[in-house]
Amino acid sequence: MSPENPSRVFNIVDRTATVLVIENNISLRSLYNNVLKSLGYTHIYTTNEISIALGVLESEVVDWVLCSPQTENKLNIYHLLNMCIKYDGLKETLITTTLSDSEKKHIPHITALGCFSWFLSKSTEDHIRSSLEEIIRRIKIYKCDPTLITLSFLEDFLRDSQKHSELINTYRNLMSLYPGNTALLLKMAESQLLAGKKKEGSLTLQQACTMNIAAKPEAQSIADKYLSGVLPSISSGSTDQNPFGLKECFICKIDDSSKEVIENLFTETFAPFKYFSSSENCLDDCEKTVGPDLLISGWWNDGLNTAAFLQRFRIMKPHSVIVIIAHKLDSAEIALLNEMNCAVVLKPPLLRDKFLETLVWLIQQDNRPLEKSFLIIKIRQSLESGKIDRAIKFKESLQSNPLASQGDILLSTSEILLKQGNYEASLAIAIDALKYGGDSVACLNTMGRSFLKLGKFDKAFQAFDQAQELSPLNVKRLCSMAEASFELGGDVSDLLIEASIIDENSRAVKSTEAKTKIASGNTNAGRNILAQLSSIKDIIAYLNNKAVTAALDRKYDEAVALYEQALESVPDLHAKYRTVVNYNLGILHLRMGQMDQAEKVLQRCVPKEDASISEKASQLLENIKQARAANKQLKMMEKEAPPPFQLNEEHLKKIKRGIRLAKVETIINKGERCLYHIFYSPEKLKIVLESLSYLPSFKVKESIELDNKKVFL
Amino acid sequence: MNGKLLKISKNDQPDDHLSRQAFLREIMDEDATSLWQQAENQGETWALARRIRLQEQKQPASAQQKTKDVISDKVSGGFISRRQKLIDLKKAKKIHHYTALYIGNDPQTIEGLTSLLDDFECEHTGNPKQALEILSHKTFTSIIIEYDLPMANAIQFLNTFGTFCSLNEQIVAILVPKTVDPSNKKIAARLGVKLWLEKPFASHVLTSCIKRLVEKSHEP
Repeated sequence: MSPENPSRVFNIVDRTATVLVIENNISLRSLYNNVLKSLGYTHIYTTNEISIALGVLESEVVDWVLCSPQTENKLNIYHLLNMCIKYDGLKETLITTTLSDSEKKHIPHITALGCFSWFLSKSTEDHIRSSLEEIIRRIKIYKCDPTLITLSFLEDFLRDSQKHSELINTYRNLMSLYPGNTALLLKMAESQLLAGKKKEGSLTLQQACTMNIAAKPEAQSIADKYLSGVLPSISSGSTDQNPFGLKECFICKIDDSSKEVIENLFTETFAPFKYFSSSENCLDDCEKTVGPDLLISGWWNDGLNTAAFLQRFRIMKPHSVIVIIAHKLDSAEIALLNEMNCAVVLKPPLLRDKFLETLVWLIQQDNRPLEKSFLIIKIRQSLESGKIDRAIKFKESLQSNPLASQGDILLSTSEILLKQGNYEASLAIAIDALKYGGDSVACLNTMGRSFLKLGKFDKAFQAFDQAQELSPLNVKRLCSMAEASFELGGDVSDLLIEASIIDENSRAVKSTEAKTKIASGNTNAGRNILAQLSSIKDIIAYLNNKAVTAALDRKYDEAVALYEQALESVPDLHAKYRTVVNYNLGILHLRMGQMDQAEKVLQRCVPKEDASISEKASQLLENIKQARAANKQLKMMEKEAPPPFQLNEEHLKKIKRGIRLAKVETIINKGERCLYHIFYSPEKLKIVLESLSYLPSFKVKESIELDNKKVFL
Repeated sequence: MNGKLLKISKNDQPDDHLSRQAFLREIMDEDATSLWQQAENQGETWALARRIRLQEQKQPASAQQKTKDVISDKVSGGFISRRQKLIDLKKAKKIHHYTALYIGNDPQTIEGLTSLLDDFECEHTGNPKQALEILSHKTFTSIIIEYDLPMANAIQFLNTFGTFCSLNEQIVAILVPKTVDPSNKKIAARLGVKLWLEKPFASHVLTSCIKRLVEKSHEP
């Protein structure tokens, strides 16, 4: 069953669907209307063209649209399909295209754009009836899963047109959505054999039998048909396709018995994997490659321990699924795994069948999250990679999850607001999330981060410190605590030592050490640390923000000193940042009305270090020159410091009243709209490209019921 | 709706709900003492973990253990405090992993050594004979001796110990009451005693002196 709201497909089966027919031909249109009525549908709208149909779509919730391609009109089927992808109000509406024989060429293109189904339109009642009944029959066969229903129509079309390769690619793309699905594997095997790819076909048959022994009779019958009855043995051959849709799996330091189970399974199913007996080597590989999409790791405390390893891994690979294999974990380790978005902890010894079941479930949840914990993970992962709209979409799914508590939903909202830079709102909601049972460590962390951004360093420290008590292995949080402590004039060394005990060579620790050393004027020590880091962007940004804050508070000398300390600390290895700092210092002098100093500093900006900043600096130097020629003083506007944040119930209430989570675009993931993002049309028709370049406007009309009548607002 | 779903309905009190309230009250600069107390009485993990932290700062190890056991019963895999976790990690990584033997029976010194010397694995015995036995098969980074011991004083003990084995690099400290003749300090120094600490002293004085001496002995 589709994880996305399947009610539209249900509505078609139980005849409660609202149907919209868009057909130029008036007699055909009335024929559709009559047949639909005779099939039991009562909510039917008919219209001759898409531009008029938009009015209906804006004012009614339409489940199913039957539409001819209308390629001769201003708006055609491609416009409609594109609108269903781009507008939230239409993303669940199913589109069936009615085609003439000559219009069959559109099938790959409409499928790639998320069309639900199609049939050949003939002007006979019987034909239309049987076509519609066929759609209903397939909905029942494929248990209301729109992706599989569309696939069944596409299979008919591609097989008839002998386009086996396109079908094989589609099956491959479906494997991560339906990991280990033997029916799909068998279909893929048959397509491969039909395409003359005997080796691949026979390996796929093997994979199907490995995944499920019950698939053997059907595999045998396919082998009888195409391979003279010979079903090859498990170990023969190699292929880049696997039944899980896995691109790469890393296995790091697990017990021998688990290692054997996993290696055997992956070898038999041709799932690509690499085993690492050293966590350092595993991280080195992560740096060099795109993968892995799955990490299976043991738990150890010596050397680069798992706590440090996982935190470094997560920075590099925020989206990989993490599986831990461990006998017993204490509260600190469990809390860290939760913070690192670990999907599952398995206890050795692993049983092959059980592990296979878990693996399939994990891949399913990673691709189409349904469970609360996976939705929460997906929200965090989306935020980590800056995809706020995606996070909002997952939060909407979390809201409709019956197991999600009010605390879970509030926490996710607060995390999104934090990423959007709305710190006051994020804090207010995080406080509510903590009150209503959101994960305590995550709530405290969000509160700490919001407080930090709002300049409430004492409160930030308090929240982080409490989170650290509950989850003591988080290095990044200890660094944030050190930064908060530094702002309060406190000692940072104890916190950094604590962080180093967890991860001796943590980049985050070095970065925090550098920030605090430079900001406190110890530029030599700062320079030494910066010379050890491959990137110092975050440190320069921190020092700049600190200088900007000082300038906003009219502490100009402090701000200038910070920039100068930053300049002194930048080692030759990172010379490009000198231009960035000089430019910012130049701007500060201009704000202070010190044109001569600004000129001197801006002249130090060189294209060799940063071309675009240097160009901006040249522009400013030109402005200074002109101002001087005109005997004027060039002065930049001073910025006003925002009013200090007030932490009290009344202010928090006021903030909460104005909170809106603004989403910029509609996001449709693989598997959420039929075969959109799964099937790709090999070539593009001119009409498709032209149509997709124009998106008609669309806005759902809000309405209210008044005296049993719908009144639009 | 079945019983299971009802149990996790949205209206249920969250875990640690009193602790959550107490923390939020604290963050608003309000007094939360009684709420924390209530939370502890309810056996809330968060409040008990906070209690352990407070105990780690000033109370005996036995009291800490009792609270840890209460939480461990509730937490799968067992509860571990932030401080204890760091000690464990250090041990696993063998960072500054020093051992100390305390020969004496002063409860304050025992408590001070066990709670303040994170980097040390500390053993203690009040019996000099037993101490000799322990020292015969185990080497410690430092040996801390009460001047007044049953059957002998620290100098006599060290003389006896010296006939069996040498002190090598070990740091020896003697804790002496004010009544002891200061001339004994020279004898002690000849025997390899590096720290002569007159009582009374604050518990952190002993530990910081020992740490400093140990670190110094490791310097190249």
